[in-house]
Amino acid sequence: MGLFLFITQVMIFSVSILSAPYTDQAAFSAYKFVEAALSKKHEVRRIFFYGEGVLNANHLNTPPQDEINLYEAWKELASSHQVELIVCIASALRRGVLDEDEAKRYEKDGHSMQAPFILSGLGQLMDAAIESDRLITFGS
Amino acid sequence: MSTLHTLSINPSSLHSIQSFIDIMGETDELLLLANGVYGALVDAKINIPLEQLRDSGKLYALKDDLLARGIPASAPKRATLISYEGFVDLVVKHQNTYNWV
Repeated sequence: MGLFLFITQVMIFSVSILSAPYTDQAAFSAYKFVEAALSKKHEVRRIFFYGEGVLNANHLNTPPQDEINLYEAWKELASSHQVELIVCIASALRRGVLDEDEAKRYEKDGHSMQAPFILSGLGQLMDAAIESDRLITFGS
Repeated sequence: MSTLHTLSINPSSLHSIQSFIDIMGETDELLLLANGVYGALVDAKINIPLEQLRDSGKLYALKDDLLARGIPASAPKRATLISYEGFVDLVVKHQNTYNWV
């Protein structure tokens, strides 16, 4: 009985992703985890992309059409489940992941990131840890 | 306070699987995912220490990740096979999750 109650309890999750989409399976595992959590009626508040993980947010990623498009999959989570997609700005700028404002600031020809992904700082990861019942890390 | 440990590299590439098991708390559990699922195969003799966890029902492996590596669900395993939904339940069950890459 106790265990049953435990498992049906609704929780707030946040996820941090430290791996690029094609380096290993971590980003895809994270996506499958989030999908499963949502299917079990949990809330997924925030996904924090950090280190190489920021490469998930590059809107120029163009995988072959017969493969899963992880970028589109993240976007879909934001629009259908209000999941916040936060990208570490210090990691992102180093890797050429810039939204329009940053591209202008650094006088670049184009930008590689846009809404619903949001550039922000590590404080948002700390905040996710405080506000969520569980914070799970994928990748290294 | 208990911890769910997740391991996503092949455990046979760890320096010592026994020292890994030794740092686990009494109520902790281990989930093998991604390349970690190779540790669930009974033919991998190097991972025999994992059977201590299996015997106390604390060793799990993601079924989807086994299938993605061409390992049939019918192959002899030393772990309980679970879905990603089962993974979510384990995260709920334990207060902490620690990812060992």
